Amino acid sequence: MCNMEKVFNKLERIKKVEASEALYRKILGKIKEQNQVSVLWVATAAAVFACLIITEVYVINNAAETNELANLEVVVPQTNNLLYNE
Amino acid sequence: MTFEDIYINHKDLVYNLSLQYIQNIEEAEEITQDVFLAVYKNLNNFKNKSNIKTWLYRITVNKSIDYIKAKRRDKRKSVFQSFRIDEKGESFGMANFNHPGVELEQKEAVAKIFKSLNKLQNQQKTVVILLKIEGMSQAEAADIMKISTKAVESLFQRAKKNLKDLLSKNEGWQ
Repeated sequence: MCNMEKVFNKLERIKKVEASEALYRKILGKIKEQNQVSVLWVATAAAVFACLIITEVYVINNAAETNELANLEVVVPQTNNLLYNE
Repeated sequence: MTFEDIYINHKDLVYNLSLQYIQNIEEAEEITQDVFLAVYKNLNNFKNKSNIKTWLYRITVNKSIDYIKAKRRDKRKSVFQSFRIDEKGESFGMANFNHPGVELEQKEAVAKIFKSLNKLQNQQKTVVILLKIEGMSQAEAADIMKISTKAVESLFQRAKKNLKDLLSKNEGWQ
């Protein structure tokens, strides 16, 4: 049977120790690393956004050209080339 | 209060609490880094709603538990490592006991206590660490764990009983 008072007494006698001096530098390094990662994310997001804008402009331009052709069809009606209709 | 001030004033608190959870210098340093990274990210949200010490204790408890869970997951993935642990008869996280706060002549006995303590549920383990190693009152522990003092008392009684059972099964324990 174990004596729990003795057990807790041993735990209470654990001493506090000092953290290593190098730890702060490591933490600052990790913070810098994370900031660089977020800059990379911002750059990627900006590139994706730019691609979307370019695609949008291209689609709008194409749609305008199609409309111009449709307007032309009103002026110059297309003939029916089907020769085999009876 | 700047990040640097918080680090200088509380680095030992965070490091020592991490050590009580993981009992290994390198891993406690890793947890300490994670804690201060979280502090850096959330410093603007803190606004002194709670005592800074309480806030740091909470982050450290959570980060330590997360670290141990992640370590267990990694070890489960590695079949080879699990076999090695089984052969040694050691539980997760106890393979390399390296606690600088434990006196040399007490090392073996304290390592055995921690081996059993590490098998308790997280809340029970936290209560024992906060009350018995960190020397807190039940009210302080309750504040950190966001539970009532009654719940702390109840958790401690259950932890004490479970720890006693585990240590009694441990043949080498005197």
